[in-house]
Amino acid sequence: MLRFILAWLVLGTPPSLAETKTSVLSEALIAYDQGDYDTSTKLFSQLATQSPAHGSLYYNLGNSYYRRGEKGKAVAAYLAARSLTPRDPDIRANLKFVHAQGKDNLATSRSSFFRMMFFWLDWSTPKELLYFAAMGGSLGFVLLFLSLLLKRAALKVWGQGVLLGSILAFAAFTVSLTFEEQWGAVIQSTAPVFSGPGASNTVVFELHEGAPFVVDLEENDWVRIELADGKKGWLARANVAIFSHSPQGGGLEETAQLVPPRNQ
Amino acid sequence: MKVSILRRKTGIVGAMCLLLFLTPPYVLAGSAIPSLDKTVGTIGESFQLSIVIEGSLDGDVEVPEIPDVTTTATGSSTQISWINGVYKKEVSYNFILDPQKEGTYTIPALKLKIDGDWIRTQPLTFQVGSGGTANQADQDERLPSVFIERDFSKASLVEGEPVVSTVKIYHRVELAGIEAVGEKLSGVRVIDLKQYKTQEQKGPYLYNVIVYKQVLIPGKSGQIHLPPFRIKASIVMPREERKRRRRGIGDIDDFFGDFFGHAQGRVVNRTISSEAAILDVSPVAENRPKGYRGLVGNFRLKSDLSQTSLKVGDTTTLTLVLDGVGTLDVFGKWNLDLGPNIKIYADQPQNEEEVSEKWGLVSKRTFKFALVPTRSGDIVLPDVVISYFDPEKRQFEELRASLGTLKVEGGEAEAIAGQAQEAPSVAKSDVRALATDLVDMHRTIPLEKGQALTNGDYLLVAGMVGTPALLSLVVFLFRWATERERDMVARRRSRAFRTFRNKKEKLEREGREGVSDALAQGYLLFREYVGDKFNQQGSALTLKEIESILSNSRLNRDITQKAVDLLKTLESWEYGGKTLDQDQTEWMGIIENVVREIEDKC
Repeated sequence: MLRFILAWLVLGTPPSLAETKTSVLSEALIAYDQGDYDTSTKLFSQLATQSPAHGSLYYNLGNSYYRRGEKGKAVAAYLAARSLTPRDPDIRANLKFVHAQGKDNLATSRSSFFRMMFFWLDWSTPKELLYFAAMGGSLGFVLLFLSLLLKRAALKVWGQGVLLGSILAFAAFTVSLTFEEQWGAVIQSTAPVFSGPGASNTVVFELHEGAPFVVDLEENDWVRIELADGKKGWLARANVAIFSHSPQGGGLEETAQLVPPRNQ
Repeated sequence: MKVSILRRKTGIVGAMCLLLFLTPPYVLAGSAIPSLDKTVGTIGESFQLSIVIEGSLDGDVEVPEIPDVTTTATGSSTQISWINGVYKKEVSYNFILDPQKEGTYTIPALKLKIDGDWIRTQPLTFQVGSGGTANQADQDERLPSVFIERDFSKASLVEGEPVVSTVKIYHRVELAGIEAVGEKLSGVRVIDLKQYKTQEQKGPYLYNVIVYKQVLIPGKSGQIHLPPFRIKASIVMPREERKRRRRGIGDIDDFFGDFFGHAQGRVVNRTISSEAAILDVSPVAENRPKGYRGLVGNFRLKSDLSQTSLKVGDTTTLTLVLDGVGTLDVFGKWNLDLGPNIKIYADQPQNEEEVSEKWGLVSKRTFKFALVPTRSGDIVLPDVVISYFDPEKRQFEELRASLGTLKVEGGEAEAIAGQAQEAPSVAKSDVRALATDLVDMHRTIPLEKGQALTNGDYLLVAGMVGTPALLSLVVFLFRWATERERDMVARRRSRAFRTFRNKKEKLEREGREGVSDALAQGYLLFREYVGDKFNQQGSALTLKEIESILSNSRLNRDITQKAVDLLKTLESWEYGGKTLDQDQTEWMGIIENVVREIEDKC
């Protein structure tokens, strides 16, 4: 203990975790500016794994991957960034730019009557909706409190109205949470999509690098996917990049391995 | 004599036969017989080792490690026979041996426990030659079914110079689940290129070939030892081969194989390797010119200005294109300096890389700079100069781009041009609109503040909503209790007369025994009415208290006085023994009248 205290006194206070992360972020940006995309990718990957999920981290990671020539991983990173900050124009622009270079002309969001009705699902995150509902609820209750205290009928009407809006926002949050989608992208030049989880199943169609999909189910080394147009199938995990972003930190679920196409 | 000898011999042979016939099978000792499909071969050929075990083996068969030989277990097969009532079971354990070098190899004796006894097998020896003495046709005949070849576009290179590594996986059997077992190379940048498939004729065989190319860029000088390129794959053994190896039981197995649809062959897992390789990497020459930024290869530089005549504060775009053979990874950010009269804003450079069989890596980087002149007049722009090392010529070369002169007129912005902070041509919104490159990085990120939902968010939200909700609830409950109290008082007040009348009627209906008692009850009813009407509990009020209550009410003085007088009279009658001047029934009527008057006024 005494040694520890002496060391602390001599060496001074160790840098905090936040300072370390900020330093890593600076290093990553410098490496990117200098064209050292291997380093910038590695550092942004590290930050995405160790920091609380933030859209800008995945966005920067996507830029680094693209500069390294890994368009599939770049698309997956942008999709992860979009789920955290859906209205960020930079993320949308870069996703569109990189996605346009892929072979498969697949949409990066699903279009249906349901999605049309609940358009805000694509433009807001569950967290935003929760806080919106909470602010409405808080304001509504404050107005009701004041109406009781000051005996003002108008305040009561306003309070009830705001509370109703808050309940609707909470319902929207529940819908958003229920229908939240996890997107990924193909990272190999060609990836066969099978009818079941295993290479012995029938190949139903093929996807190419950068093709976006919704993760439907994950089973061992296989991922059941659904495309924006509703097509479904199974992809080997080694052929895809899916970024998970848990509150404590996320990152790439799987790293790519050399898996040549089947039927050779 | 001869007959007796013959009889004796016949008897001995018969007894032996009988003994042999009566001996049960388990008395027969177990055996382990190793065999090789051949004892002489060349490098690249595989040897098949089979160890046939008769009897019950305790444990598994493991072949000891043989130096420079890769041993792969390919499974086991069982042969059961029942000949002349004798049950026989043989299990064949199969291995494939891949020698890496020429020489004589010995498979050591294996110690196996069979039927409870330890048995040692015979050691086997096989020879591996280079194949040089055999004629080409023989060599071709012995080409393995799967092998890997690797070569490089050049054997010696300079630090930073790209070299293309071509790995060809040749196979004439079906492969599945190929997985590269790569060892990460230190000090070498590896760019994976697209794989493709082709076919090549090797000797008498037409091979399917998976071509896998990589560009290797050594980051340091010296000898780089590249480990063998290895893959793990599942090989589908051809049916014929299998039949040949499993002597005797092929027909039955084929029948069931065909019936159940897995007659293509058996799948074995193998690791296949190429040979190791060494790359000689020379350092870049020492006499490095000023401004050399580590480029190695053969490059060229082109420049272009979007306009040369402009006003102060206007923007002209300088495009510098650096392209050539080699990597531009080391080049980094280009901090251009064009003198004090030009403000420079760099756009994100665009990179393009192509891989060519001939050149290796061909790179192109386009730099765009927005130039904003801060003064009017002719501004001569200095040449842009960079150097690179040419590995073919073994010397440094200089690239120079002349930018010319800017003719700048004075403009409204001249006065404030020096304060310009942002170049309009590189604004994010412009990049988004043009969609010709990535929008730049996000440089300020609050790393400790995540955007995903956490338990903390739920707690915060609960606090945000719960606190005012709780406060509102408390106030609401307080208000509700107060209202309820007020309602009860009002209800009692509104029901005071009805209660009085009901009780009076009940009193009359029950017909008290004495009139005196009825008046006494009527008196109490009157006091109770006053208590209910003016929110006073009970009827045990003093006369003074009743007088005070009535005086403070909205009643006029006459009614108050009348009520007080009535109460005084009745009290004197009840407790003072004073006689009443009127009939007591009339007094009951008087009480009712006073109550009615109070009720009318309140």
